[in-house]
Amino acid sequence: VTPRVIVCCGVGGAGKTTAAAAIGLALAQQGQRAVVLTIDPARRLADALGLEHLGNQPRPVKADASGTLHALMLDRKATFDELVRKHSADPETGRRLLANPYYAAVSTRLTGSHEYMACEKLQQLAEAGEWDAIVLDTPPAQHAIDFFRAPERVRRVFEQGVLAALVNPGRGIVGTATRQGLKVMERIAGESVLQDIAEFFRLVQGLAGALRERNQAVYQLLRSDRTVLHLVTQPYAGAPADVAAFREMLREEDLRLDGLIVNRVVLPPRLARPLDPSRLPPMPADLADALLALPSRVDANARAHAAAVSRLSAAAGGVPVASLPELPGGVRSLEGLAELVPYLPAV
Amino acid sequence: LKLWDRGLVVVTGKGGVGKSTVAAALALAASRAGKRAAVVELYGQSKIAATFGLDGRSYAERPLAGVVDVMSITPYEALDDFGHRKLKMDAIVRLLFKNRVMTAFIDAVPGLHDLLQLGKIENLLNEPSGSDPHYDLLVVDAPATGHGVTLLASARTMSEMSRVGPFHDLAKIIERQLEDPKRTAVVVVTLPEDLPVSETLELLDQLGDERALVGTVVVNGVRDEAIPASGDWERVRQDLAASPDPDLRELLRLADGQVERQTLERAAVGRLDAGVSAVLGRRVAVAKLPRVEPHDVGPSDVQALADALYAQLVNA
Repeated sequence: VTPRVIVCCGVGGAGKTTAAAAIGLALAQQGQRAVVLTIDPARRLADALGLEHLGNQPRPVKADASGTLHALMLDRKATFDELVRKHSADPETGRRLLANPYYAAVSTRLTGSHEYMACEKLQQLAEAGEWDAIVLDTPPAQHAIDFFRAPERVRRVFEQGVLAALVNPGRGIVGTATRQGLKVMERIAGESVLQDIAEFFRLVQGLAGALRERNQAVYQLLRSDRTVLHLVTQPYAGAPADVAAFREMLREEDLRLDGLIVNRVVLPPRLARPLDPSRLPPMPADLADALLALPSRVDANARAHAAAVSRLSAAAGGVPVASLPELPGGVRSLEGLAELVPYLPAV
Repeated sequence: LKLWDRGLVVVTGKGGVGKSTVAAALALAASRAGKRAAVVELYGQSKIAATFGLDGRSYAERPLAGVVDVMSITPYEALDDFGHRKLKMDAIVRLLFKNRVMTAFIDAVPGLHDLLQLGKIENLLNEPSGSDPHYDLLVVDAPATGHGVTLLASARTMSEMSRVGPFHDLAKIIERQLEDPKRTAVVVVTLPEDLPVSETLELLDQLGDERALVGTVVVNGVRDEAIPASGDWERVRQDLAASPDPDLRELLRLADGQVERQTLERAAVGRLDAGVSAVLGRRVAVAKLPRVEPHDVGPSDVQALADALYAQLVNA
């Protein structure tokens, strides 16, 4: 059975990791076998989940739940290496590819390789057959849409026809423009880079079919009716425009937004009537002044946030909007995550 | 040496910590010190310009608040610029330069996007052409990827990969700029919370040669202490908790949250203050910037932050 997939997208710092972990916990509480794949290179989720070191393979989290919760942190290089070892034509080709300097750079530093490996890991988890639900935190990005666009872009690098011409410059039909282009590249990049790249493309040719198949599988998984996409955002003025733009970009990718999670929303104070000094117990004047000023401070923030949330709802085009309250000191533990569960969208 | 006495300041930090705001405030603070400064947004970002009400993005410089400039650059524009400057190419080759071969190539070479943009910045700083503005200081808003440190590593990546050629030469020039603490400073921005502080200390610890570059750490979004420290607080707490008035118990809930936040913030900032100098093995200023409430930052907020930065860094 295909597991359900819940993707938490958003720009860096929006709170994707927290949202993903809380959703994972909620699913485990519903009795499901849930796994949370986090990408963030920092130890944020590991801290919140009380795990010292998250690895590249799922590890159990001791959650108070009828189901199970596992978590893992993507190791981009290790995942890339696994992929090469598994799908290379023969072990020798795999070894040479792993030793190629251009491969080393591609697998660790090429823009988009993080997203690409997140998709590969997602596909591995989906194939494992051990999970009812996979919750995916997406890599920190300038644009939330990068997660959906980068993998295909990176894979295309692997079978880039123009660059592949380097492998056999004499063979095939290479236009004048391309030949000239290659000359310019050689002039500016230097010959050694081109030699490494040429060897890389020679070695990677045998992999191309498998990579294409896997990308196709992830493409379909992300678009299946078992998958939902949530955009994680925060209540500030620019957010509604970002949400509208994101929905439009998703449409271009044949995807749709299923929910909006607004993180760190300040809730209004619940006072029956305004406080005045006569209602307070005896205390020093500066303390009394500070306490009396507190509700209006909180209220001002809560009003601004409520206005931002309603603008966000309008921009979200009718998808459910969940507001997660700001917890004092942020989410630092499983208990903190559990406090967020009642505010999550239905999963 | 003050922060703004270096030519290049790279502002790094995780997403959501307010890097762009701090970068803009730093440029404004430098202008208060008499520097001609500009702030540079990478990958076509235009957040700083938008904060000051400028529409869209522009590769060419635009004035910000009358005293500094802002520009938004992309790898492709920077490559085009590089082609004009360094390769002295004729018109036909330049056309090829823009074709799909080149686009495929620069997308396929790791770190090249970063390197090309740094190349533009380095050029602007060290050899501006006749029509270019001359700056004392460029403040770069680094992308959030890898805490902004991948940007600093891009020159090394390139000089490892290519051993000759114009990109190699460019990488070498940038490496020289980036390895000189007299010419380049890194500013790490963080938040006054437990995890961001831990992550910042980890980041500083993991930095290699770039450690020498760290000019200051900025804690952004420090709340003022809304509840004053008081020996009476425990007793007042108990009175409020025991009160039959539900409004007072709600007030206690708000106050408890506030006190918890304050306590955690104070502890986090204290840990950062002690940790930064310990990890770097030298005294490095930790600047504190007040939280802008609610979340939306406007030009007057950035000016106020610039004043705060100037006051804290002018004697650092």
